[in-house]
Amino acid sequence: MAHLFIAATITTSVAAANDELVKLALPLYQVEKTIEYRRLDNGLEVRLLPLAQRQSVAIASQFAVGSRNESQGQTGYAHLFEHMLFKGSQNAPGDSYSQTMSALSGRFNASTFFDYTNYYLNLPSNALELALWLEADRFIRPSLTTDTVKNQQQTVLEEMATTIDNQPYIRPAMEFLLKQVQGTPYGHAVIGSKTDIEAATTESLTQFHQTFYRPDTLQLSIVGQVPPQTLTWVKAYFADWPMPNNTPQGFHPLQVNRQSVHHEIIDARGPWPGLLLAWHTVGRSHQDAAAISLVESYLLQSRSSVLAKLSLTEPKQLLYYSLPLTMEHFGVMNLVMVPRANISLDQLTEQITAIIDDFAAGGLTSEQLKQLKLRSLQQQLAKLDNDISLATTLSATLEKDRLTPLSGPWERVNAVTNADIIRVTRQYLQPGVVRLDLLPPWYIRWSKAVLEWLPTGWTDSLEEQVL
Amino acid sequence: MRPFVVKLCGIKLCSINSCLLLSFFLILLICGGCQQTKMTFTPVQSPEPPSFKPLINAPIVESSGSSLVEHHLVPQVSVLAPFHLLHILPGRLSTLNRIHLVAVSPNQPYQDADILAKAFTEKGLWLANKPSAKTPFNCIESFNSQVSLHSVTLTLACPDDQLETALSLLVDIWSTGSFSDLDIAKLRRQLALDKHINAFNGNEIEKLWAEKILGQTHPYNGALNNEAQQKTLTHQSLEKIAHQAGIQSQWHLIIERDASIEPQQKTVIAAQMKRLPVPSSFSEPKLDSFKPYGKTLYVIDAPGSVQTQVRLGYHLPLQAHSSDSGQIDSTFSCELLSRWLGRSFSGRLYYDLRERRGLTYGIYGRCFDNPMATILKYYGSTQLQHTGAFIKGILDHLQLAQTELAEDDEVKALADYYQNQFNLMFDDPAHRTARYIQLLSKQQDWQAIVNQQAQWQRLNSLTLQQAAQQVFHAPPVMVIRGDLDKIKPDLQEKLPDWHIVTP
Repeated sequence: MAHLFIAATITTSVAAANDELVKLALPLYQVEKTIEYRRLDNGLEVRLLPLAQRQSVAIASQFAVGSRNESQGQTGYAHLFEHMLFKGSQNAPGDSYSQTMSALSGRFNASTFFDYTNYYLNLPSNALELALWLEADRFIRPSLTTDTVKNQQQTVLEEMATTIDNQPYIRPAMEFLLKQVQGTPYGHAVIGSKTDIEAATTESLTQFHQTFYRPDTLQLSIVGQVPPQTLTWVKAYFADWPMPNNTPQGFHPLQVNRQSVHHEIIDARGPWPGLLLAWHTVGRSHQDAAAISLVESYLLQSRSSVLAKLSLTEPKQLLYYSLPLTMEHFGVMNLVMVPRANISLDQLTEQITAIIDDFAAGGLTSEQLKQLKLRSLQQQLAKLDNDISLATTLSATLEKDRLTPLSGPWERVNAVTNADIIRVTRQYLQPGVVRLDLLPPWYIRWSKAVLEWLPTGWTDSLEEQVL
Repeated sequence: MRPFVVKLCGIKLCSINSCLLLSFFLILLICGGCQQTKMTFTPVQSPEPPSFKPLINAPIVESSGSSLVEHHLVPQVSVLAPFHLLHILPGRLSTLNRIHLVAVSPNQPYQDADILAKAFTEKGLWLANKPSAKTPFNCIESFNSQVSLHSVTLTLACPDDQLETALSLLVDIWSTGSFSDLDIAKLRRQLALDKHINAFNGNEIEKLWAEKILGQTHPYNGALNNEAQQKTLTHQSLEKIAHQAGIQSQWHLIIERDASIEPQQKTVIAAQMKRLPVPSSFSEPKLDSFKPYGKTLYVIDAPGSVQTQVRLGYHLPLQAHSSDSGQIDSTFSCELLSRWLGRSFSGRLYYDLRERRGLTYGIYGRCFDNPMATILKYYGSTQLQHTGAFIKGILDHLQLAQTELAEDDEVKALADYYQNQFNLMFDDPAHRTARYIQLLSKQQDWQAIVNQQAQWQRLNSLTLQQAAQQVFHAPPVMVIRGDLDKIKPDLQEKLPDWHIVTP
């Protein structure tokens, strides 16, 4: 009888938890139902989402072309070409695209990643037809000149200096991580090599465009005050763009060797040691992606993660951060930590591997799993609250979620069980970690080593003085 | 005391303070292998403004022309008690209500605002990790705090049925003893670490910029970076900082929600708000006494850096000039000039220095129109070899703006940009709310920016030139950070009449 009572209580609380999630998730389904889905004959995927009480629209165009499509000697082309699409097209020569958008738009920009290039903007609804005309013109008929290519090569090199070379550790750490997947489509940096960027020509970039910018690799999403003629405009400006006879370049999940690797880099500009840990996981198209995302959130990335809890008082590190890094066919759980004066990089590593081992042994309680799903759901809901982010999310939809771009990813998260959590932790995190020690010059390393040997009270006091 | 600095091959190793710890281990090396490479500096070019040509055969955009706030976006404001106001704004698509408890202090900045910001962030971590019976589980992860010199905003995103619990939690954060559970040593370390991180990633330039552009005695400079306070921070002193912030505040509760607030709920909200610190310490605004520096170029020497960061701008008079003085008021000039020259892609600086000459990844302009200072700032970075050409390029544009009238198409593009920014802001709830809080901290409402819209609609090339002459006639305040050994010859050649000072 007691067992029956417990079983009934558990069933009731699980049902209540599910009710709460179902109720909270409703806006995902409600919004999704109002999307108009169209695939044009040339393969272009269109999603229109009209929203009430808006004066504006957001447009996101995502092409399935990124650095993974680049061949040897052409690294950085996807990103450089993204820059070129702001530098003139047949009907909008020179800087007229940027000038027009600058006058009309609140935000317009683009980003390039391993798997995709994404262009987005928002503007008053009465300028939607003009925006579609301009987007089609630059996507289909870009106009590259020697001067604009030269100018954007310089700009990309400036970007490289700002984001990579001006900071200690960044370049060698990036190169080390990429080396772990050398020989695969994810084996070189999105920004490319300086040599390849400098060697790019009008002809080679035009060839890149002709090969990879095609209607069947584009997802176009329009969100906001969507006028009734919108689909007519989309067809008028995009439907004549011919689909090539060949199929777009395809990719497969990476086969990764998950053994532990330990390496170090020394940077004379480094002010203090740091630790980078990385675990090779799976891409977003993989069946385990949802479970992995919950595990990452639980261990490292949420405000109430295991590491956050351990760090509330007397943390072993001065700071840490972890951001999800997920490509279509490959994922990395990563963690960067900066140690306290009396803590070695070995101790930090041991702490994290112990957390993973504990977790792999026990998994989660049903309440913890619910909280984790709730957190994931709230992150998805937050995307609804900004039209550009909503349009960008829609344009990043996986083929399997084509008609369920909002609820599909959520349902996979909601279906994750504790058994899945334990299994993926054992399968992807326990076998091995890629460890990179980020080391400052010798005099700081030596001093730090001494501090690790001193009694804690002394070190704390010295640490406070030095800080 | 000027710190003793150890240099090796031109690379700064450490200051005397950190060297105390290292001195036992530091072995002097002979700088025999240092290589000096002669740098070729980029030549100066004449400034060139963008030419705005209409598109041919493009679809026509019908003018929207509206500069009113849509009826449904006008906040419903209720006075709950003296200095306690409730504002209801429209809800969001996610149906999660944003509940913002906002403290504002229009006449004086929050002292030690940086310490407060860190403490609220840490408090957010505690709330998420040490839940109590009254913690609203399903929204606690959404806790966010935003601290500025004149406002503190604590936010939760919760479903309808959690409104009252969420408010209670936000009010609790301001109660006495709220920070007693925090690890104060950790907080001290984080504050100290921020200083080092800022030096490490180049943000130290912002501190010197603030000192110079505001003037060292400006209340804003006194309100931040109080190292003595940070180093000796205790639970008691943190409590004192939070208490002072509380008693100099007026309180606003902003709820973004579509469902109406019932009278009974309003009574509960008013009762909760009564638990907040009682306002008792309002001071009169202080006069702004900034004095410019002439042609002085402040340089933070950062040996080994591969870029030069540049901050350049003006401290505008605080009081708006009356229209009969023939002067354009500071707020309008500041907005106008920041956007004319610095509005990203189509700003003159970005167009000329990035898109045409490739000297930078980005150069931008921004107006900081705060209750106690109006600051116009241009900021960007460049590779070492372009330093002189880049800075001279900016200065040449300040000159050009005063001497040549802008073409009508350029003026129209600028006015359209502002009008559209205004309209688009209302469709972005986060942006809309942030702007509204900014207005509250200046004791204004939407009408203030509607009024400014009218000035933009009358914009012409003469107004632009007049604003430029009014502001740019004197040398700007200029602070840069870069490898001085390498860039000094370039600076001396391109800016011969500027006096280089390393603070």
